[in-house]
Amino acid sequence: MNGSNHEGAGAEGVLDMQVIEGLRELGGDDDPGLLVEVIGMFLEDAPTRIEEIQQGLATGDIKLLERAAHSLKSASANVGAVQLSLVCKRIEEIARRSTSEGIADLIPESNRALTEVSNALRSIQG
Amino acid sequence: MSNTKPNPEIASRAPSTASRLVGIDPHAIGAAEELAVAIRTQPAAESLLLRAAGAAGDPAAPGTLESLLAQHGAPTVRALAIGLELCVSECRANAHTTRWTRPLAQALAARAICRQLGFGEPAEAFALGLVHEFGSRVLADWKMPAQLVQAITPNAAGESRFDASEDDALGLSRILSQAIFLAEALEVDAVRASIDWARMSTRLEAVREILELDARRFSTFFGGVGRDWAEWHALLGLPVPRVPELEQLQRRTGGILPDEDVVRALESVSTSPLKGLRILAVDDDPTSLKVLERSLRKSGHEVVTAVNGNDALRIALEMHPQAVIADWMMPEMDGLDLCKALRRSELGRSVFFLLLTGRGEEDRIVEAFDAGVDDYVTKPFNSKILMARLKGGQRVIELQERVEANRRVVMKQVAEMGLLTRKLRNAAHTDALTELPNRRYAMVRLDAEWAASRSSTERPLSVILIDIDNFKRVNDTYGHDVGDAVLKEVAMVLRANARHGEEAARMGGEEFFVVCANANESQARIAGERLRSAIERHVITSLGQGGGVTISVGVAERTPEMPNQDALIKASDQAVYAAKAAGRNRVVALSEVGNVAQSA
Repeated sequence: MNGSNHEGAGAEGVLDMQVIEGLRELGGDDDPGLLVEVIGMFLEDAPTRIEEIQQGLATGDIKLLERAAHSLKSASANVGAVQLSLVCKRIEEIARRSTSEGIADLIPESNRALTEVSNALRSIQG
Repeated sequence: MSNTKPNPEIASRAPSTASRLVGIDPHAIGAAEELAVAIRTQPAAESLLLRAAGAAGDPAAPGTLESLLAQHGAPTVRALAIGLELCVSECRANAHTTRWTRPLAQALAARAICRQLGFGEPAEAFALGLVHEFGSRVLADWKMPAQLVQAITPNAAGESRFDASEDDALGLSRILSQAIFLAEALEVDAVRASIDWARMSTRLEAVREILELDARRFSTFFGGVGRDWAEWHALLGLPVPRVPELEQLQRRTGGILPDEDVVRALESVSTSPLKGLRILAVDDDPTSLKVLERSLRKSGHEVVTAVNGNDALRIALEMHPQAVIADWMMPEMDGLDLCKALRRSELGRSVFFLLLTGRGEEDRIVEAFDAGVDDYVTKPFNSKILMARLKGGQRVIELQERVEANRRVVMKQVAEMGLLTRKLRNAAHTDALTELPNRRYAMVRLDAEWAASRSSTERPLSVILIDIDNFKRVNDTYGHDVGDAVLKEVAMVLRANARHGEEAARMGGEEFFVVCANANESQARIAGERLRSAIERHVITSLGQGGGVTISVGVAERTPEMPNQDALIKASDQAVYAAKAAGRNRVVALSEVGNVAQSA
């Protein structure tokens, strides 16, 4: 989340590497697979959330929209996907006011962020 | 504490007086006389015995060894004398001995508890407190009274058996255990290092509840026992111990945990290593849940996870977590609803609930606290901060569990003791034949009314003494069975005709007694006449057709000149005597005694 950590290309440019290091540390010696496992969970879960956001927008289900944005906000924060988390937060805040006004404008940005993040995470996953 | 215990071997190498006392068979004919002789070989023994058996300044307490023997019987006096003699001879031999410090505290506490509860013989309780550490086998060898031996025989106190033969022993045993708690508290200065303050607090609270005293009265009670204890040390020529004040102890023990103790407990817990908690982690986002679960496990906690509020509630009710960490925003049942639902259940009321909030939700945190949340951490959480918060929660959890455990122990003891004391109190205060209150109860009532009347000039106090006329003739003519039936019928009529504030009791034999609270002589006289005419009109069929008895009734009101309750009873007795002298079946008030005597 610190700007100075965003320098460099590839994963380092899209992800907060402090968060990634934190996950690696959290796994430690007795659960070295934790980082990969969490990334796997994110990669599996995130597209569904984006779909839910779009579905909520299309059907006017603001509640679904808000919940999906909230979940993705948390999930992306957990893997250091700062930009994606921020976009989701903005979507969530709009939805909480029981409106979808302006959310459509944020969808392309969230899609783009997800693609970048997924690529970066896959490179870490190896 | 074994080094301060009286040594059972003392008996074999005991000074001659103690072994002589042990050698006396308490049930043999002439035991009382033999005891008196043996006791009087020690110069101070008689006065110590009287002091141990009676209340200081209690005019009703026996004043000589003979009256003590008459009142308590040879077995109890012998037990008391043996205990005191062992104590005195050892103190005489070693002026710095601490062996008897605890037994003395227990003896004095047991006696005081006995008096406070109005159950049992204080002299017996004193003896038990003094000698129980010798053990039931030794006491049995010494032919100590059966109830003393049984009171400390394992099992006597363990189960709540209530058959009549064991009530005495069981009651004594319970009194002893409460006395031991009090003695522990008194001795606090001597053994400070090893004191478990929380346990002491629990025990003192249990004693207070059992004695049915409020905090102030309990403090006075405790102080009284402490004063006695110090006095006895002085009396025996031992260094006088410092008596702790109850309030001071409670500040240490925290009673049931006031703020200061919470702070102290928090301090002690915060320096202790973090122990694992049973935690339920709830989040609908799998990555967050995974990270949370791993963080908790890594810190040594036991973790169960749930992905929504409904599952969490179901799991919580099964696994009884000590802490729940839940995300706020979840589909269906969110974190707040989960918290509210848990708080409504008996089980979830004490669980530590930590809420995970997203950024931007802080402004709604008041709502979360209203729902019963204990603490919150914002997501994405920093593992160190979460663990620090959880550690704070753990202190709360441990304190709460301790308070709960304390409370359960206290409630259990109070419940057991309460049942027993109610039962014993009823038994101790009820006349077995007539089921009226007995003399003991009448005296308790009289004491209370005496005190109330003396402190208020507007609250007169009168008593009515009743004696059945020619009762001896009934017994002689019809036999004792009929005599008993007559007593029962008279009791029934008295009970039925006594009004509010008039409490009838059987004093013994064919004598009954009514305490008339807040009644002057003429009011009590009217009551007496009501009772007399009711008895006169009542037909007792067992005495033949139209059979019945009459009563002579004496009425007396307390006057400022009367020094004590006995004087009032004596006055009513004088009035009854005058009524008998004037021809029976009549009411005479004290103020009429002279006139009646003249006219008779």
